Amino acid sequence: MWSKKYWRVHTKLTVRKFKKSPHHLMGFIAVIAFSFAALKYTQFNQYKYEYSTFTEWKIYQENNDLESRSPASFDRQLICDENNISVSQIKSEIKTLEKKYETGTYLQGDLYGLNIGKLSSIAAQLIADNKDLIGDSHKQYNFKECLDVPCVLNNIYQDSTELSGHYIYYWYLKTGSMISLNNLIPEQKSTYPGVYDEKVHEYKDYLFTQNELKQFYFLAKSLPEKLTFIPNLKSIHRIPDGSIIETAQGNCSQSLPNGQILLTKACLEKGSQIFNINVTREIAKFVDRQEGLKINESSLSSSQKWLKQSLWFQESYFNNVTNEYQFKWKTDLQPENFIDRKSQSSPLEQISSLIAYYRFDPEKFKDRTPQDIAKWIESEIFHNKSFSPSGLYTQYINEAINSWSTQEVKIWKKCIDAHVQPGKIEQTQRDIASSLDHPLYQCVEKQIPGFVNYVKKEIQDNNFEGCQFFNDETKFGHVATQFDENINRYLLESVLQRKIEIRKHGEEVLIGQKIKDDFIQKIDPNLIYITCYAKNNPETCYHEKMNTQISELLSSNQKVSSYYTEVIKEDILSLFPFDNVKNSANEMAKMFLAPYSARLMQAANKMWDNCKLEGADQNAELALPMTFSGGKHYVNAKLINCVNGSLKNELFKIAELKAFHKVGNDYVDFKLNSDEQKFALSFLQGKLLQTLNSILDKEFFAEKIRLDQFFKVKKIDTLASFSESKEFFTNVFSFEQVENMCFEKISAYYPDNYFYHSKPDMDKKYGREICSTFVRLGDVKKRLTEQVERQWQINKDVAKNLLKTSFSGFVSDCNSDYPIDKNSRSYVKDMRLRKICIEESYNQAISDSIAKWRNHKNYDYFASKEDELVRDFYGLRSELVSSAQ
Amino acid sequence: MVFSGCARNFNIARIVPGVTTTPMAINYLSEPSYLDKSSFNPRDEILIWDDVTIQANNDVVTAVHRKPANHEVSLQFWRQHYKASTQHFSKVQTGNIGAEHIWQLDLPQHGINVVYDETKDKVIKVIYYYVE
Repeated sequence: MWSKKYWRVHTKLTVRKFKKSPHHLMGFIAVIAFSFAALKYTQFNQYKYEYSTFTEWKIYQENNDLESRSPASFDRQLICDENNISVSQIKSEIKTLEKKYETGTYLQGDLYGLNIGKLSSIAAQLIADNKDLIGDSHKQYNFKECLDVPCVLNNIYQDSTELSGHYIYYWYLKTGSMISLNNLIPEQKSTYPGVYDEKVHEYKDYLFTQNELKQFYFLAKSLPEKLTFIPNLKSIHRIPDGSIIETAQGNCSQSLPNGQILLTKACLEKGSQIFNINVTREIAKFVDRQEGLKINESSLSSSQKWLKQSLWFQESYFNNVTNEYQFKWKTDLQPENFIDRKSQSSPLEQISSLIAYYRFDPEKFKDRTPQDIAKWIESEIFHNKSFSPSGLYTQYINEAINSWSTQEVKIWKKCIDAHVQPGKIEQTQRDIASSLDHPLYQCVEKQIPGFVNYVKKEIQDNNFEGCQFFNDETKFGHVATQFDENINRYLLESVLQRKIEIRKHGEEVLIGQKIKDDFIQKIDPNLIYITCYAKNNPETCYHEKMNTQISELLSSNQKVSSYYTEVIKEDILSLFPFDNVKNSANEMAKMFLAPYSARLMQAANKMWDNCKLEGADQNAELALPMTFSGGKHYVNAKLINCVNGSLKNELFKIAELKAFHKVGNDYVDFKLNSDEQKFALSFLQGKLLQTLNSILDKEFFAEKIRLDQFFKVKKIDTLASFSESKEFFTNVFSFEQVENMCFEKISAYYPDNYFYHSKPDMDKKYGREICSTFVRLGDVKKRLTEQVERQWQINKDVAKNLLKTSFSGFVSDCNSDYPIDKNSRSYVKDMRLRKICIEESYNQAISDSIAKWRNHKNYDYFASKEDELVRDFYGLRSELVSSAQ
Repeated sequence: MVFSGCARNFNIARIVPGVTTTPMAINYLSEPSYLDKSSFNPRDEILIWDDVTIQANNDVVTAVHRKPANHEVSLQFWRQHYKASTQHFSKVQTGNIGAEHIWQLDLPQHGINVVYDETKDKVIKVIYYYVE
């Protein structure tokens, strides 16, 4: 089989193929770099390694889990059939994932008898961070018998198959968010758990069904890095059947600003593809925000770049009649260029839909998305990974080639150990180089079928579509066949190329491989990426630093020709493409940081409580600028100033971004340096604000309930005691006066510390409400009406006296101005003139007396009755005028 | 640059809803980049510049929409600054129900409406309107 003719033909084919597909050549070179390193592996000097803490931590995790990662361990059952999932399979997957998160730190506390301190780091984190989401809010549980998280969850689900609890825990381990098991829906109108959409629901109605959880399990396997461990995404809640989302009527899903996703049955029941798209679309809304923050924008979808690219603009309007702001999104993009109807409603819906369809309906995505937009989504969100059949082929073939790159080193080393005597490799080099059938080569070639099986199992295990890819003839038959053919050809060619390399370049190849191996051993590209992360152009920075590192290594080796130096440089760079390194650094950081959110939450709670101990100050001024703004709630200025003051450094000191492992009595520390902390904080930035917002939401809710209860009691006491108090019924002139007297007394009894309501808010909502009720109480109203009426009568009498006094003065003037003498010839005329004078002066007396009445000390109480008084005065006219005449 | 920015802000501040006419507004701010009837109310005209939008009715400005200044981007600022005044806080109803979480804080005594995006935790617009 391995004849010279065979090799000649295949060498020609190889060269031709690589001319057509340069990326295969790169991969090929990568393989050479890795594999040849094995030849001299043990001879190289060991230098001080320059690894990032994340890498060191990951290596440590892997070294402690070598058994489960070796090819031999890949005999476990693969899940191809969605209807045939075993608990043991998920348990095994969970065990592997749990190990990846092990930071060596443990949380204290318990949940209904479950000792959190005995759980793994990540399991403890789940409980500590999400205890409010576990179980019926009205019920007490006993988890004393449980030793792990799935047991707790299955206990709540009462699931004898144990699948439900394992699905939920798996989802958490893969995505960092929690599937809620609680009957309080975020932002629900009722303050009572179990009441939603004005209906009472049973607890079980809030739980996702086992079938839905299974779909979450598969979705978890299929989400790319960008869609997992999003700091702002906290939990997913199911709306009970028969209810609509209170805050989004007509929608089957909604994402909330504080990190929750709400889903109704309508979004979950139409098959796995629709399920995946609906859920991913909501997750993508958090990605939109998170990725926006990274480019100093509020979100990707609201960035000028996206709005221009997608031709969006917003029309706003202020309605002067209702005092309401209105707006709508408009676009110049044609409807056929939108992926679905929902995506036409706003830039946010568009971007989140595109992300969902890119992943779960790549054909539709390709057909309906304008090229520039499609390109952007592909590169910025998916690191250029495609999920169409041909895209999957490319992903898997690259995965196989990369796997070969690492495995080949081991394979060659194993064969060298078997066929070359220790320390005699240089003496036997001629033999090896002169024969294409040397036992060393045969040994390596024999490993190929085993490797192909191993890599296919790895692909099926690590990729959502992996199993289908190799087993679904109808959908993937053509690409699966292509995969088999090409990977086998590639492996044979790579071994052949190795032989040719040895023949042509001899020692230079060995030196080159030493340099490559030196680089692989000593330089951590993740570290280089992290140091470049905060730079203006991370990619340029990364390439510059990589080049510098390679040049430094090359400069110490003078024996390599300039031609071969360039070959080595290219080889090394192709081993670590920027996107791959970025992806792997992000993933490692997310894993490393996953167990920190509970600690962050604890630290933030402690900080908040300390600030509250300093008390509220209604006159404090807000200190600007603020890192944490308080969101949409009013927060007492003194409290928010304190929180912001503590935030600057203190919180992260408390959270301590480090991990450790205990080996015997010693500890292996993994503490982040300054660059790494900056990088890590970029993942926690949104998380911290979300944590504070969650605390504030809970605090606000608690204060609201506390104040409601306080004033409910106060109201009953007040109404009873005030009704008995003479103070409110003596010397009172108006309802408003009594209400104000009541209000003054009530506000003196406000609770000492309230932080999330302003004084005017409290007055309006509680103080005024009680007093307004008080003055309208049946008996109180009756007594007050009598009192007010009595005072009005008294005041009216005062006004009448003023009128009489004023009028009598005018009458005296008239009498003196028009004296009457019965004997006078002008008697009749004088009488008429005096009468006219008196009659006209009555109007004058009214004006005069009203003016004086307005100066009366009680005028304000009766000012509204002025018209009534004037009418009364006119009613007295005939009586007073005739008596004056 | 700073001076021209200040001058621009000064000119925006000169526009008083209920008093300033459309020609006066154009005189202060230059020709708008967009002018049309509002699709919400065709009797109202909308004049758009990069940094400000004006609504007018019968050639009299009825509302001025502007971006918040740096110190105005948190809703807390408005809540605290006008804590002694009547505040109406409500969710903005849009056609795209549920996707965006936009709120408005109306200060009727001052003729100010503050538009707040809860997801971004930012005030995105400040509107001054005519109060009789």
